[in-house]
Amino acid sequence: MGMTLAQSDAQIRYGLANGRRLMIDKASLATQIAGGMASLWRATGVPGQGAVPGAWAICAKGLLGSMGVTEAVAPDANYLAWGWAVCQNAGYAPIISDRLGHMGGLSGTVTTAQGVNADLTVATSNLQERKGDADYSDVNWYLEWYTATGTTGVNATIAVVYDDGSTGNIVVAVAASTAAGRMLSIISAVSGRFIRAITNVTLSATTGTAGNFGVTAVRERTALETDNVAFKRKVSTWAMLGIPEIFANSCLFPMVETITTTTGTIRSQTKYITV
Amino acid sequence: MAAPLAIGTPVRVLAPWSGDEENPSGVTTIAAVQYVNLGGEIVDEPQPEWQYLLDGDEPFADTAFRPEYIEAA
Repeated sequence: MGMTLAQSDAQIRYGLANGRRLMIDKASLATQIAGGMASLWRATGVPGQGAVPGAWAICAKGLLGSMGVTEAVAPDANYLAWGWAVCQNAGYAPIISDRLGHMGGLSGTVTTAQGVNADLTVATSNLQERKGDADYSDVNWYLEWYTATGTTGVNATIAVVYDDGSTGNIVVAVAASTAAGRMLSIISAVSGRFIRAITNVTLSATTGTAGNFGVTAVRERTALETDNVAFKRKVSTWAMLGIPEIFANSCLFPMVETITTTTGTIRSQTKYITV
Repeated sequence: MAAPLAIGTPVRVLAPWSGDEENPSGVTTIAAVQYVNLGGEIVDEPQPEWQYLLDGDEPFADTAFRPEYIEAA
């Protein structure tokens, strides 16, 4: 039936008694920065290490690197309703995101326009429901690193298509020695407009090392906060998680904002309810 | 054959690499000339290709740009 306002308390209580669990148990990634965002897509552990992507593709349930979810049968729906997290690094808060689409293979030594061809306007894998708001405002875009690029800092000029079909360029600073796992935000340069597609990326100069990076589109679903004590388990209730619906074909994976130079080991268990 | 601009030359970054769709950046200076070989690696020996590493101050602290993206201020 899906979550209803009138019956939500009873649905949550019933759902938690019969909920299924999602596990995260990820090894630490090094060479991060304070104040950065890290993708745990390539971290080893649970869920398994995802592959480095090639050409742009929409991500879907079952992709190696995603967390396994048993799909609800309509009219029922799945919701994240409870969880705990234990982080090696004090104060970290793992984020559970739906990986909507990704591509890789961009080079840190190519200084001509490198094709991305990322497009969220397609209907593949229930994308239009998963992406959230029709204006793409629920989507976060990142440059994601798979292999470190070189020791020269450059700018990446990113050609984008906004939700209204207009186009523009967004400049993202790429620091020297950007390492694997790093995610650099691509934020709309136009107030009130949101990115629906990315055409290409042009580096202002060579970084000196090819490395491997790409473009990833995600929709954050929830975050599991922890106290500022390493390895201390903290439980999040349904109210803290916000009961996000897990739509059909979601490709859930963890990310984390980094406070220090590693992601640290991260373990978490989240229950999802089917009501 | 053209030669690189000298270290210390005041320059601006052209649009849109300046971050503005239409306008160049504020003035900064060239901090270093980096020679680039055919493989995109940065080497010490002079090469036909080069790029400029801009000054450690804003607006593009320690960021490199190809010559066609900047102009002398």
